[in-house]
Amino acid sequence: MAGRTGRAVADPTADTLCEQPAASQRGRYIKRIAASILKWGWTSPVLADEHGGLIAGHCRVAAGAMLGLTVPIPVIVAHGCGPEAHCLCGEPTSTLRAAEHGFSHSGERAVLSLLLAALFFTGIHLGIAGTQMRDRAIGMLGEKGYRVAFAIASVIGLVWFVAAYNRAPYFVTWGCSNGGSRLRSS
Amino acid sequence: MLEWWKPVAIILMLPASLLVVVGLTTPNPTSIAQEGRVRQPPQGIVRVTRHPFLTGVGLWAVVHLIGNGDVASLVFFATWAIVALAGTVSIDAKRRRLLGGAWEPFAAQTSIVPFAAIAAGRNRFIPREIGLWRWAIALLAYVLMLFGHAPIVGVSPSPV
Repeated sequence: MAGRTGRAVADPTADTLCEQPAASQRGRYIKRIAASILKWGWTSPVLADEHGGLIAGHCRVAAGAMLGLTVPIPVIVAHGCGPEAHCLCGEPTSTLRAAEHGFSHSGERAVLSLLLAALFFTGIHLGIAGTQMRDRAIGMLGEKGYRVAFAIASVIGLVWFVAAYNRAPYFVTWGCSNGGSRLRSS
Repeated sequence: MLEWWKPVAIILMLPASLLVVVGLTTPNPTSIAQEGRVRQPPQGIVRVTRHPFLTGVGLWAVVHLIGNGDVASLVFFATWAIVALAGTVSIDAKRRRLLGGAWEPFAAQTSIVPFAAIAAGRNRFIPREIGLWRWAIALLAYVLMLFGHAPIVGVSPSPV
């Protein structure tokens, strides 16, 4: 299925470093890859489909972008792996994507945790603070008690929400079209 | 991350930063424990929107929601956008309930959507009321985030 363009030399670090897609770790990985590129050069080609979409090597591309590289990079083209085969932008069902993202039940749990955190965050801000439930809570706890309880719940909700986001695996929706990289930004 | 969106994001994050920073530092009857200010005429950024902080957060969330393009970011930033933008309506309802008739004149002179009250002739924009130091802090925060984005978040906001 794969054709080759450019050169292909084993890169001792990049793929290993990018096994974890968690955003919280990505920045550190990318910096390490950038340091590796500076030291060794671009030693391993990235994998792309015939439409030019990246399949593997996103962290290396991001590291290159971080370094401001504008030169062409070595690419292996995977023929027969276009969008219709869902290799790039579709559901993460292909072996390639599963292997790249290390997707597993822990990934599903991370997504579930993110959804629960989102519900909790929305619930306390709009469901309680934004409705007459707030008045009932004040009736039970008093104004000061309510404010303290809300502040604690709010901080817990925020920390949970951000942590769940950072742990969540990366499933592309529209972010990989037109040469976009699979990196999150906040 | 959508590369083509990055220049748009860089532009839109400037008003978002202004709204957030100036909103946080401006006295406002919609802020926590400042209901008593409702009888004072709206000043500074409150002339632009009575919910500057929340509209700024909403704008930040929408900009990042569009730019990231992955499921986790969709959940994360859509939640922020909903909480921030629905929060403006929710706070209005709460203040109306709490303040009764005192709320209406203030609400009539201001708007949720930035510049809507000014465009409708119910208020006017006086930039100097915002204060030079607030403009400066907001601009500084914007520049810091622009250049600090790559080292802090790990993603450069500059197009490749």
